[in-house]
Amino acid sequence: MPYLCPLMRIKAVKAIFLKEWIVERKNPHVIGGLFLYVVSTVFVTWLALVRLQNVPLWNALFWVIALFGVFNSSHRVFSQEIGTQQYYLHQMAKPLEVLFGKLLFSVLVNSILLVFTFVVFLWFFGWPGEEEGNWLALFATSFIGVLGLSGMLTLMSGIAYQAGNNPSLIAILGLPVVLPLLMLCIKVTKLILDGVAASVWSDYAFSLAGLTVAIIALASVLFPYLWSD
Amino acid sequence: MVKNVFKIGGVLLVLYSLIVSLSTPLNKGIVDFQPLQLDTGSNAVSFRFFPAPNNPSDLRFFIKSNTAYFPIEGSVEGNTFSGEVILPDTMPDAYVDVAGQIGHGDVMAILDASFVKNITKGELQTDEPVWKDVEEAGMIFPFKTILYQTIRNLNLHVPMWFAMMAIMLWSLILSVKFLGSGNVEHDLRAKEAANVGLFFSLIGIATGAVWARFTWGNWWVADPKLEGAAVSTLIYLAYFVLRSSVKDDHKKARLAAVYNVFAFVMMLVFIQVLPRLTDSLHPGNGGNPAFSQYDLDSNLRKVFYPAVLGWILIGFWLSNVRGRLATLRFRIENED
Amino acid sequence: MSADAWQLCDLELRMKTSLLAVLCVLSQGAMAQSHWEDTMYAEGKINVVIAVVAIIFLGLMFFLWNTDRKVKKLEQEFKK
Repeated sequence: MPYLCPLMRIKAVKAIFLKEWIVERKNPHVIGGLFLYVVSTVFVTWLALVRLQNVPLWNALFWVIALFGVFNSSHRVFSQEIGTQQYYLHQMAKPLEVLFGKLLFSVLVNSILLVFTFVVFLWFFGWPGEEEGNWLALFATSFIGVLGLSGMLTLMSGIAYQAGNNPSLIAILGLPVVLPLLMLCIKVTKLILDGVAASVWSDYAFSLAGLTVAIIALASVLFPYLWSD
Repeated sequence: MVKNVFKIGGVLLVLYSLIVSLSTPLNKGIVDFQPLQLDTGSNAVSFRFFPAPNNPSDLRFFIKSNTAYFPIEGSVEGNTFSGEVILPDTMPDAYVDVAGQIGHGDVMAILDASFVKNITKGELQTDEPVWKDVEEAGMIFPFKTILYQTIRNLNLHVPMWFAMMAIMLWSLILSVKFLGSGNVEHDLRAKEAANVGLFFSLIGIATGAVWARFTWGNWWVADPKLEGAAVSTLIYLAYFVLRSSVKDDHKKARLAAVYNVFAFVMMLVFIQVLPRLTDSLHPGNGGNPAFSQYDLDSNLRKVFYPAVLGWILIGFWLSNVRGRLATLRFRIENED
Repeated sequence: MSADAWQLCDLELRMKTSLLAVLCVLSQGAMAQSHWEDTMYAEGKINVVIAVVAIIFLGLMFFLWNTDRKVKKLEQEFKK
């Protein structure tokens, strides 16, 4: 079916997603910079701490570094909208299609970034604590968290783009509003890393999923007002 | 006119809450029981009242161990009761309470006031003391250790937060109105409402810090409600940063309105949902015994609810005045 | 105090040094809570309530002063 809903055509969403992919292929240094940033930050942390076996600290540092990686990547979402080709394409596409196309690509980039951060962390610091964690639960909840984060930051970068494309504005706007989601993510992953039973962290995981759905819904409602010019 | 009714109503409610919460006397209570460890046989004990009792002859005290009551024979001197109690070798519980009739109405007690060494645990039954009927107290505030007189702050500090939430909600409504209508004046009034809300949150943080310093011992603690307050303040400060970074009125209004909607929902999540998930020092959360929504003393309720409503109305008045000023300025600027 | 001092058999010197040590410890305890802290904790902490009322009042006055400034700016614009 060509329409996901009256406001969104699947073909258009796919087209925008592919366009993002092509733009990134042309400028690989943008995304490459993100991965370099993650490695450098974890390396600095390693130089400062050397050993990190404390689960809450490991978890918190992981999420903080991942968060700033995602912040950096969110600037990329709208900063490359200068060429006339892209402008014409976006005149053809409906706002929700633009949002979801960019959002899906963002989720892809941020998920890879998160997994990469996790791998780098493991490489420098090893697995925290003694318990063999529940990998599936960890990745599932982290993915939901990244979904929420990407949704929120895509909206924030849309606002910042309209307000002069200032990258620091994304951080100023985004940091306070991202805190509830971030705190939930940290709480859930810490409990999973501690190796506790699913009944303990399932409540938080459901809250996280609910919050992510709310964020995506809000962003979908608000984005058209941002995009209409 | 209707507007004036709200303004006068707000002023009257706040005036009532201020006068009553500052003039109502506090109930009496026992504090500083000494010693923390008792022994079998004769013990010299002492404790203080808060505040000084009116009729020392009416006071009777007992050391209570489960169902066993042991009278304390002693005398009152100013604020202090000092006396002697004789404890047997066999008692139901080593942790003892102090029970006494000094307050209005119920028997006053400190739970787990002391610990008795060298006893054998065993059942013991004594006659339960007959508590005398005391006269009706009238309007009086409950006594809580650590808080003492600062319980009156309930009607001063907490309404600030309720007023902030109400004003931020009003700001949200105005922002949504703007998104629907496109009339910039709605957004200007939303901005002024956010201004007033931010003002209330800063006062809330300041008063909360002062209250905390002399009750919890520190100006700031790691507590979800406090963190929620700090995050709300940060969120709305970011809102004003966003507004100042755009020059064009219509674009500024659009971006600010979108952010306002998002910010309010996130603030709501942070304040309402997260504290329920964790423990907290704040009364009513995390099993804190001080006071909760269901535990609020009926006399306190009589002052608290009017105070909340009064401050909300005052907040609306403040944002109303600023909003009229902003729209007036906008119209004058856009006339030429 | 060095070990040599304690090996002095002089009773008077020992008493003086221990009295000095005790006085130092006691005066530390007395200085632990300053005068203004004492007033805040005294009288059932009613002063904390007074401080809270003062903060609210000052805040409202600051708000009033701020609004006054904005009105002044508007009057100046209107005069033009």
